[in-house]
Amino acid sequence: MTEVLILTQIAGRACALRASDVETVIEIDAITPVPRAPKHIAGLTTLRSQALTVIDSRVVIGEMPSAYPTDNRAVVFRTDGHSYALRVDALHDVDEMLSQPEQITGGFGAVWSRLAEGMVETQAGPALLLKASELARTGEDARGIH
Amino acid sequence: MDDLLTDFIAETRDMMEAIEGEIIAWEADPSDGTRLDAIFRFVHTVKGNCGFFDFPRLERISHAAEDALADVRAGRRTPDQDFVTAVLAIIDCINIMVAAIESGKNDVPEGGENPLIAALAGKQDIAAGTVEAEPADQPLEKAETPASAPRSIRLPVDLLDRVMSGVSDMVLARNDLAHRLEQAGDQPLIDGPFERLTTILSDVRDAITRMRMQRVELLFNTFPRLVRDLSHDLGKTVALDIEGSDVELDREVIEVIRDPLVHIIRNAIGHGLETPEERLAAGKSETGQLRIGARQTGNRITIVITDDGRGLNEEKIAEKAVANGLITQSQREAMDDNQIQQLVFEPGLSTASQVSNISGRGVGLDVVRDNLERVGGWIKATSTPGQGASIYLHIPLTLSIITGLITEVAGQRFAIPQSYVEEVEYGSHPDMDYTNLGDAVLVTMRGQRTRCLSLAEILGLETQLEPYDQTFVLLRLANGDLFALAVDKIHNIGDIVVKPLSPALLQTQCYSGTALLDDGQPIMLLDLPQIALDRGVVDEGRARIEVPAPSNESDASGETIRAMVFTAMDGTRKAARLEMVARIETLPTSQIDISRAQPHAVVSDQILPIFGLEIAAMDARKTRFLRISDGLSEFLYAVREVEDTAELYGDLLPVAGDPAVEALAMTDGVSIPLMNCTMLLKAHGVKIKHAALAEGAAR
Repeated sequence: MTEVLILTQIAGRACALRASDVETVIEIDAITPVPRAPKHIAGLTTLRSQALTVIDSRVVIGEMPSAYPTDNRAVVFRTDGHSYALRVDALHDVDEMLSQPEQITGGFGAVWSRLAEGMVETQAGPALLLKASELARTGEDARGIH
Repeated sequence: MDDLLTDFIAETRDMMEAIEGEIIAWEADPSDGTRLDAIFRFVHTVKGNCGFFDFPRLERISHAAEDALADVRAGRRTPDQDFVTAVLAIIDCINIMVAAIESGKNDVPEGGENPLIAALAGKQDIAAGTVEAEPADQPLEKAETPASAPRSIRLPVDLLDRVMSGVSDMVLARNDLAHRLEQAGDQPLIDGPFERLTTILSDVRDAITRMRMQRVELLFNTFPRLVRDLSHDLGKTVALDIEGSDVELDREVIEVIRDPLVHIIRNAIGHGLETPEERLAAGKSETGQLRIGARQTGNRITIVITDDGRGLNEEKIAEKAVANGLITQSQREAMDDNQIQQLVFEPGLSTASQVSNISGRGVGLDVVRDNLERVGGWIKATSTPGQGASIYLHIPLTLSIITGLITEVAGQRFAIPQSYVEEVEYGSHPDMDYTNLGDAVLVTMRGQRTRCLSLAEILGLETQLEPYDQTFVLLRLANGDLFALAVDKIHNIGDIVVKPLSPALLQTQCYSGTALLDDGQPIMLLDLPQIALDRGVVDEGRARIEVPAPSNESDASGETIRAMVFTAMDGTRKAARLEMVARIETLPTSQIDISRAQPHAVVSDQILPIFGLEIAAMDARKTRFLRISDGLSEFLYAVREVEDTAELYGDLLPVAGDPAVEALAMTDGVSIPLMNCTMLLKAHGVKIKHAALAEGAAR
C-alpha cells in the first residue's frame, strides 16, 4: 500500500508530512498569545475542547513569519501526549508518496536536515518529508537558534 | 457492606458463567481432573466468601460440595453419575440462593438443601430428593431475571477519559449555543428545550465526575502487607489501624499520593517506632501503633499518619539543618519546636544516623512535599517527644477541576488558582499604599507590608494602567509566603478544567497548565510558586522557614480567627468565619420568595434557603446575603450591612442555649457572637451541585 502525504509549503519550500501523522487540518481563527513563550510558539488555539499549541513552522526553520503570507490553515498532529497545530504558508494537496525518502548530496541545510526524513517524489514534484514529532521537539533547541 | 455484597454476587455470577462449560464437560468425562479443579475452586471461593457474609446455608452446601470434591481430587472417591448429578444440583442450588440474596427475598425453602447434601454424601438417591424439585425447578426461572438486572461492570480507564472529554465538549458547545441564543434575543420555542438540555448536561457531568472517583480503600488495602513486611524485617511489632477507607478521591490524586504515603509509612516504622525492647523500657506496650486515617472536609481530603513512637527529635533535626546550612544558628534559636518539626520536609535532611534499606531510599520527605504542593496540597508534621508523631497530608479532591480567579492584564486573561488567593483589593482603596524602593515595589494592605510583583512585567506585557487603577491580589503560597500581584482587572471566579501544557510552554516557567473558558477561549494558569521563586520573592528553603505557619492552627489561647463582621437584619453585630463565606450576594428583593415558612431565593440556578431574614427590615429594592458554604452544602444568610473582615482574638467563650452561635469572641475590644456555620450548614444547607456551581460562577 502506498503512503499518503499532505503537501504543504513552508517558508516558500515544498514540504510534505505523512498523513498517518496528521490528525486533521484546521482553519485557525484566533490564536491566544502566550507571553514569554519561545518564539516559534505562536500561542494557543482550540480544536473542540482541546487546547492546541500553535507552532509556526516558518520560525522553527529560522525565518520571519511575516516574510511569507499564510492562508491560516494548520496541520494538527499529536506527539508525546500533546497536540499541536503547525502553521504553514499553505496547504496544497493530499498525494501519494512515489518514492522512499532519500538524502541528497550536500544535505538540506542544518536546520532542515534535522527536521526532515529526506526527499520524496510526488505527482507535484519533489518535496521534503518532515518529521512531525521533530517539529514539536524543537522547543529546547529553538532557543539556540534565535 | 452493601458494595461488598454486590461484588460478591457479581463475582459469583461471573464465576458461575465461566464454569458452566466446565460442568458440562465434566459431566461427559467425570475423570477429567482439570475440569474438576475449576469446579472445586468455584465452590471453595463461594464457601470462603460466605464465611465473610454470614450466609450459613450457602456456606453449608458449598462446604459439603468442597469436601466431596476434595475427596475426588485426592482419589479417595471415584465420581459416578450420581455424584455428578449431586454436584450439579448443588451448583444450581447455589445459583438459586445467590439470586435470593440479590433480590433480598429469602424465599428458598428452609431445609431444601438437606437432601442435596445427603445425596452428595452418597446416602440418598438424588431422585428421591423430592424436596429439591421445588427449589430447582421453580426458582430457576426466577434466577434468570436478576441475572439481567444491572450490576457493576469494569471499564478501561481511557474509555472513561474519553467520555469525560466528550462531556466537556458538550458543555462548551452548550455554552457557545447559550451565547448565540442570548444574542438572538428571546426565543420561547428554543429556550425551553435548551433549558432542559442544560439540566440534563449538568446531571451527566455530575455523574461522570463521580465515575472518576475511587475509594481510598484501594490504596489502603496494600498497607497491611507493607507494614507486616517492614516490621518483620526490622524486628518490630506494629499494629496497623486504618480508618476512613470509604473516602472517595479522584483516581489521579490517588496515584499522586501513593508514593508519599508509602514513604511516610516506611519512615514511621523505620525511624518513628522503637524496637519492642526499647518500647518496654520506655514503659509503652510492646506493640507499636500505626494509624492511618482519611477524612473529607469540603473539597479537600486530609490523611493523617500517626505513630506512637519516639517522636521527632527536634534537637537533632535543628542540628543537622544548621550543619547543612539550611538555617543559621541565630535562626535556629528563634524557632519553636513546631517550626523545627517542619524542617523534616526540607531537602537534604534525613536524621537517621544510619541509612537503612527501609527508609533511606534516596527520596526524601522534600520530594513528598513538592509532589503534594504541585497538586495544590500541603503537608505538616506534629510531634510530641516520646509519644509519637503525626504527618498530615491535605490534598484537593480532584486535580483536573480547580477554582480559578480569572484576571486580566494588557487585554489578556490569566487564571490564578483560588487556593492561593488571600484577598483582592483595588488600588484606589484608601487602605492601600504602595512604595517604590529601588526596583522593588512594596504594597501596604491593612497595615501589612508585602512585596508586590506586576503581572505585566513578569509576562513582558505593557499595561496602560497606573498603580492607582490596578487591582492587587494578595497571594499566600502553600508554604505560607505572602506576596501581592498587580493585575489590570479581575473578571470572575469559576471552576476551570485544567489540562497539561506542552513542554515548550512549560519551559517558560510561568504557567502550570491551560484551561478553556466558557466561550471556548484558552487561558493560561499561572505557576505562582515558580514565579515567586524566579523573582526572588521567596528564596527556596530559607524563606519557607522564616515565615511562621498560618495562625489558624496555632494553640488555643492565642488563636485568632479571620472573620467577616456584619450587622444582621435584627440589628445585632455578628461574625462568620471567613473561610465559610463563599461570596457576598446582592439580590433584588423581588427575587426572594417569602411565601413559605422557609424563605428561599434562586442564585445561579440553585434554590438556596435563606436565614436571618427579618421581613420588616428588608430594603424594598435589594437585599444582601452572605453565601455560607463549606464546599459541600450552602445557604444564604441575610444581612443589613457587611462591615469588613476582622481578626477575632481571645478565648472563645461558648454560649449555652443558642446552637446557632458557636461562641463569643473579641474584636476591637468588644465581644461579638460567632455564627455556628457548621451547625447551620449541617441542619439546613443545600447540597451544592458541582456543575451548576461552575456554570453559575462562569456566567
